[in-house]
Amino acid sequence: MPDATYSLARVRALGVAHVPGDRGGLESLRAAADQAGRRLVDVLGPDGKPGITLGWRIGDEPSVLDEPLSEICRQVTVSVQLMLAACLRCCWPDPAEPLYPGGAATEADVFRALDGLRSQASGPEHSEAGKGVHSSRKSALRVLRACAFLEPGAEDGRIRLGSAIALWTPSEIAELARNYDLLPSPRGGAS
Amino acid sequence: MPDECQPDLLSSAADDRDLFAGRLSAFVAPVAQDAGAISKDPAALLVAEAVHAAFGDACSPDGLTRSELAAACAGAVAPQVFDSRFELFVALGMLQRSRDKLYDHKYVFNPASSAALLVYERLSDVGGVQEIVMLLDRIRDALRQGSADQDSVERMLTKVRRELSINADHLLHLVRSGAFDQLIAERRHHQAGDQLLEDAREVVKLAAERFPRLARAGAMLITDALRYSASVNEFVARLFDRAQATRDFSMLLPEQYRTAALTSPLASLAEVFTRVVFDPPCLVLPPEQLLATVREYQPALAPNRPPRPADLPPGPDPLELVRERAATARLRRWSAMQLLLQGGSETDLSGPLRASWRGTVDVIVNALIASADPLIPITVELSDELLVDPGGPVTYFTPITIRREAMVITEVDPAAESVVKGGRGA
Repeated sequence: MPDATYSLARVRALGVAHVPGDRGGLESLRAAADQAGRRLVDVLGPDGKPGITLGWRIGDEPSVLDEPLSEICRQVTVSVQLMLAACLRCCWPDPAEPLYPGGAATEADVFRALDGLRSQASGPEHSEAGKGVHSSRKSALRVLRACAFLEPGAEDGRIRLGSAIALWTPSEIAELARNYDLLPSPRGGAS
Repeated sequence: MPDECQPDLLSSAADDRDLFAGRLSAFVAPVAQDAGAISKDPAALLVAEAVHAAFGDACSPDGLTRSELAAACAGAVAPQVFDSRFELFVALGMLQRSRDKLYDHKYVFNPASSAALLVYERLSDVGGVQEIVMLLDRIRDALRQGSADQDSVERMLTKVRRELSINADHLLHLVRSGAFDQLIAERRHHQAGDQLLEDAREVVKLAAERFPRLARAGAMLITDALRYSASVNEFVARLFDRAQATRDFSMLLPEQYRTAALTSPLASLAEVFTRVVFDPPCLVLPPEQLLATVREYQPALAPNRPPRPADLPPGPDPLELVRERAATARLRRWSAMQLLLQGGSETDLSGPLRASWRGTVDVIVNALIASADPLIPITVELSDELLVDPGGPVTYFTPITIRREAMVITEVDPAAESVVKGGRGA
């Protein structure tokens, strides 16, 4: 069990780890995760091979409004949220299909999708207008990649959904699918 | 004595109590009569400082009485501690009886003891090395002002050299055999090794310019200053080795942290954390929040003109027919109410008007609908009585009162007008 605990800590530190080769190792890792109130979620590793990441047990997810969590977690800016919405739409062409792992999209498509939204200059992040829209979008992509909502930058420069998306619950994904038309589309406005 | 009353001199922040007590004993050793000459009780120094503070704040040229002193020290030391030290202070001359007011039993503070307290504090804070710095300053000032002759300068240079030599040996001894805790406690006293060397070079240069015969004494001083500087480096190196091996940062002073943060290269700073495990960056962003933000930034929809209505089928307008039917029903209801009122403004229906349930219900329902219609000027009030007729066709009945109300037509309303006109015509 100590080995499994260390392996669990390794998965937590790495974000995504390779699936243990032997079945017993996977089972003890799953048991260790369960004991810690977590669950193992199957994802794709950066090399495209099957991997695992740590999610919260269904029903035990921390709330955004929980004070300690809001202290340790970075506050999500509007530009990052809109960028993720555009990435979701571009990498998830058919809401009837599973959201994760989805497909790949180009930065140009994602930026075009964002062009269709109302300007953020009138929103709470007024300073962004001065900073430059392009650098703000690039910065949002970096944040999303660092936080595993998007895969780390690949050689082909395309955008792919990251392991953090795999942690969303089926009901959350169903809610997204119901409101699919709200997500900014590269073809302009709601489809 | 309460902890919060202890000044910094003997607190752990200034120095470790035991270490300072040891240093104090060594400090007084040259003039002590016996090994017990120094009090082991740290409170002794606190009482002296409290008495010193009392005199410093009193601004009383005539001195202070014992009771005034005790009252002034009460906040800092316990009365019995004060009493235990008072007579000793008087006996050793720290407190002297005021010669002018012998009958008043007033005391004045001896400035020599005041200077000693300052020295003790410096001894605690910066150790004996500070005395070397001050001695060098004195030589430099004397040389610049021309107030010292060759012999006195030579004596002072020799004294500084010996001090440096003793401190260098002390540091080397600590490096070779001292416990790590001792090194940590000592580190604050040897922060200015390089500065001391620079000061010594400057003083030797001034001395050699003014008294060329002191060149040899100056060279010996520089040799020992170099030796002291090297000892400090060796001392610091041992501290760093140990701290690096155990990842113990307690040896760094706040200012050293700041300097490291400002001047060290990023790679060196990051190296400290090469074996530290961090959680990956965390961003909590549930889809619900995402959708709410996207909704907020949806583009404004282009205004759409409503489609043209379909052409009406031939024949009468069905809406008009509905309105006509409603007006007819209202008129009929109003006429029925007028019939019940019999030209009066109020009538009481105290029994069934029809010999059947259906007829009675029609009357009641008509009255209630008319009452609810704002265009029919009547009100209906239901009684809370219940009339029971077991043998009749209507076995029970609740009396009602119908009243005619004045109606004000504020706008041109064809429906209301038709009712009023119909009422008048009926």
